[in-house]
Amino acid sequence: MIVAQGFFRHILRPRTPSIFANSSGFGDASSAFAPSTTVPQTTIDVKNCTGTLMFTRGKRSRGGGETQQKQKMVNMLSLISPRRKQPRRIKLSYEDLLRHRTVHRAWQLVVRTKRQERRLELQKQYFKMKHACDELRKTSQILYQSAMEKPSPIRFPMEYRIPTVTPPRRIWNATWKPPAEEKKRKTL
Amino acid sequence: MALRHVPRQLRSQCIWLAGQVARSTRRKGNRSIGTAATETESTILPSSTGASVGASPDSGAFKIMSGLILCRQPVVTPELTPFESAYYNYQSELQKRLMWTFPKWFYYPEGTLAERQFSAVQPVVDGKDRTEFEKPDIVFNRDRRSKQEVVLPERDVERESEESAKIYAKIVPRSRITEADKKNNFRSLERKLDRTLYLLVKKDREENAWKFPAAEVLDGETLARTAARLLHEAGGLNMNTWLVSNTPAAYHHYSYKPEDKEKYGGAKIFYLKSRIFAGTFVPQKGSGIVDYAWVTKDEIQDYVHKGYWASMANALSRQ
Repeated sequence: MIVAQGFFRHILRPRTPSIFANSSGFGDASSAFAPSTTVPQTTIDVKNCTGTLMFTRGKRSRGGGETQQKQKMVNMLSLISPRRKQPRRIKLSYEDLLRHRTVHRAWQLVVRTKRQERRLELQKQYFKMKHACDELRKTSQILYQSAMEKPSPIRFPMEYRIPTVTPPRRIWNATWKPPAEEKKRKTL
Repeated sequence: MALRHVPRQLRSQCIWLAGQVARSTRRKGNRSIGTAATETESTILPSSTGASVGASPDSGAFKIMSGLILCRQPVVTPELTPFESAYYNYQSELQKRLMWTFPKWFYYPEGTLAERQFSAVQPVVDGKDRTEFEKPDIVFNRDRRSKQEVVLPERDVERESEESAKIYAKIVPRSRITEADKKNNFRSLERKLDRTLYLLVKKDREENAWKFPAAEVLDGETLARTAARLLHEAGGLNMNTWLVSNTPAAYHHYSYKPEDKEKYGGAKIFYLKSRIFAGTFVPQKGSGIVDYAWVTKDEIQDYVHKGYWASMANALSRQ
């Protein structure tokens, strides 16, 4: 895509007659200041243009492939730019601001509580595991050493599934059977 | 028998071999290797237990057992509290208020039939609800002070083909509450989809019947191997499971009653965590299992006695 510096200026700046030196003027000068509820403004006649071309979003331009491509590019760019699409900035009254802040703080509190609970649960699980390993070590050194074996890297099975908001069509495969090739399985 | 010189990957095989050797020597009547091993072990380790793999039985010894905490992970996300759902609703409304105006000229080009149909269906935006001194601020048929409501035109169902009707058919999400929930079927794995379900097994006993499955660790076996054997012996082969780790997650010990103390004085159970992904637990004959249930953590308390619950509770997850 070959885009000159001036190309962007034409599209993204507000349109006023005096700025653009090279343009051949506006087809309809009054349309630049018309209220926004009317149909999108007409463009200048492309074949009369002497300098850089003027493009507006949403139009179908006459001419060869190049101008059509540029038109498509203008349409795409207009989607990315916030020009005339941004709503008004939210200005909260004092009471509304207080309400918003209260909600935010309550949420932060809830998240914090959840995080702490999860941390505590993991801590309990870890110490339970540690206690079990200590007892195993006291009981049998061999069993302990075999229990300390870890696969490197840890591999997760293909069937591992992340919880979704709603369940799948078949919630549980109750009729699963082991594949025929696996005769002897070393571990679970 | 120190295994420090043996590479990690071969240690379990080493243990199996040692067990084989011990078994063969015992058969021949030569107890020297077996007893020497146990003597060294008992001197190294604290005197609380004398029993280990391949040891001779002792009335004060504990039976070493490997247990199984088999669980079914949650299928759906956790339930939202009323505050959480209200907060998420508030945030989505804020986002809609701040969203850019729908670029109608791009999706419904001017002059097309689709554009005409679309425009006909849109709600009228005239900015009526404003104060006397406010000018209407409407750009691209959107009042800039509020969120935009875009209404899609109804599809002409008659003119559509079957294929496109399938593609555009409304997605109906399935219910999070299943039949198993309604019937309170504790043997079903489709119950309580947002919680973790743990397998509890009932033995033919009057007291302390419900517990997690467990089996004695035999000669030459590791905890993991015993757990695998236990799983097949107790519930059959038709279960797709995955052992999370060789490391025990929980430990429980208890003494037998004086009348039951024949070979061992009590039992030490080391529980390994495992997950089930598919299949069904079917109690096998000869396993001694009378009944089973898939329960959540808080439901376990109703089945199991206090001492056991105190041992196991911390190893399980609430969600």
